[in-house]
Amino acid sequence: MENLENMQLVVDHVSYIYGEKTAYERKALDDISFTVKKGQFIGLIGHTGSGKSTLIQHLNGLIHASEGHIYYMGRDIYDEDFSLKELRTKVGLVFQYPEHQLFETTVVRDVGFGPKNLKLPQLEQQLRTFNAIKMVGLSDELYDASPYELSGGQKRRVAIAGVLAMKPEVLILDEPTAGLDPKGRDEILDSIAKIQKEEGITVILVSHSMEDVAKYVDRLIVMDDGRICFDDTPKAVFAHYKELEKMGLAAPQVTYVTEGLKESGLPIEGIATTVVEAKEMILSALKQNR
Amino acid sequence: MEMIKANNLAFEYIRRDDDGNVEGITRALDGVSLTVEEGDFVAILGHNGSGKSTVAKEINAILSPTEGTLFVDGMDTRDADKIWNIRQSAGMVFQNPDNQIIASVVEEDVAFGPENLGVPTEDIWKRVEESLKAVGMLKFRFHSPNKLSGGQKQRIAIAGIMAMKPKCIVLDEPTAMLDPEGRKEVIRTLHELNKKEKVTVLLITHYMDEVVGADKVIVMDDGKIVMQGSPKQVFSRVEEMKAHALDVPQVTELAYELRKEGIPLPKDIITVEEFNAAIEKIYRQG
Repeated sequence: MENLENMQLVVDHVSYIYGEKTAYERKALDDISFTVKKGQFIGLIGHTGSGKSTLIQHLNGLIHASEGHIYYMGRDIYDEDFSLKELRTKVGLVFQYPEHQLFETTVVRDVGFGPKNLKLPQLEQQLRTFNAIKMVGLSDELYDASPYELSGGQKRRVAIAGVLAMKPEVLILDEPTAGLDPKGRDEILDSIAKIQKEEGITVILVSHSMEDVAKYVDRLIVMDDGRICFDDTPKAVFAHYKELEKMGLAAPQVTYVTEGLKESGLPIEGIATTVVEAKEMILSALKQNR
Repeated sequence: MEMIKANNLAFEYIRRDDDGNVEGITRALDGVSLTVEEGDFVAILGHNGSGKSTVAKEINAILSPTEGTLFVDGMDTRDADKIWNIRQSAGMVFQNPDNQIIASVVEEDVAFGPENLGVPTEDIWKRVEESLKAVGMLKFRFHSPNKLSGGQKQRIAIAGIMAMKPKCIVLDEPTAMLDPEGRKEVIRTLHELNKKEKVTVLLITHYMDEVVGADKVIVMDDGKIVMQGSPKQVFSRVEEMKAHALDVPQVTELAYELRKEGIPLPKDIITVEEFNAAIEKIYRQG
């Protein structure tokens, strides 16, 4: 077993019950255990009500587990002397439709709100603010624009920048591309991937798009009914596409292509989860016949 | 018969400062001409800010044309006396199901529309039953909408519109907030309503795979209609779609990439079945 001390996050047999001892009692998380290493890019998928949102709110201490423990950098976050406030600056959470939380008069003021509240020196505040705006790829012409005048995709970038300005070590995003058009979606995911690589931060991406997780993440966790069903590379997970379908999920469209061709007897090995992979596999299958 | 007929439709959003002076004008629609025949299933694609939601609001007479004309079921949307008739003919479903559900019991929520139209009580219950059946939600009739999934809530919202017996339903990104299963449920329901109840459907969406089953696809950019045709015709123009900040289904893109490598695949592939049949044929021929 790997040394747990080296793990950034350890979730240890966590269960959570909503409305305990009421008529609406429901087990939202059921004995969840997993570990996260620094710098991983993790996808989290599951149908509505599978427990994804409940789980990520545990990771920065917004919800206290009914049972089990969570460790951040080796320390139990439920310890009395552990500062949850500090944890929340380390584990940044971007909620669904984060642009609904924008409230300041300018982009700079909105992004700078977090650092200001941390009571950092003025210069550090500004540095973090402008860095965060740059990281999400917003042009400097928008510094003084009202967040309300921006497009949907731009607003969302401002909201993400607001969390990045807190310099989190873990960035959790709950469906950051919901409601965006394909270009806005690609731009946001490309920036997140770039930030993950360049800043070395851990990213947990909650998504409904199998195509997106297949393209970006290196580890995929699948939740169903409050439990973790799969935790592996996207390729290994999508190989179980028939089980995923039973959970109301699916595999990327190209996975169905290569699986279908395999069934028809074409010499295709392995499983494709992206267009690029499928292309290579089909080209090599066609060559074998020449 | 023409359900929707827009002729050179334009709409301008005017921004004003505190004193009411004009600060800027945004031309959200610019010379849009389109025809939707009764019984059609039409999809509108376009990136954020391309003007597609403005079209929906025009059809529902929430906005009035700045220039040009728009007729819905033969009624001019500029005619203030016709507004309620227009809204009854063309019902609208929005993105967030939680903003559209108002009652605490499913059947009461569905009854809200016809009740406001002054439909006799007995008739209301008949309509409620029929519409819930049409969207496959009859067994949830006495449930609380709060406990339903996003896809189920959206089907309730659609049933609420159906109970007003519209000829046309306009849906503005109805699946944007749903998971894959919920999205499928809603799209399947729309196709069933279109086939069985002969309702004209105008679906505004960002998801390319939802468009595949439509009779006609309209692509908007910068307030104008830039492409239109069958899904096959539109998606076969991969580069053009990308230039309008849109996507094509993954199989269409895969076929496009393979064609660049010299594999003789047809241009109009939009489903996995079509793609695989074409590849197999090439493979068998060696």
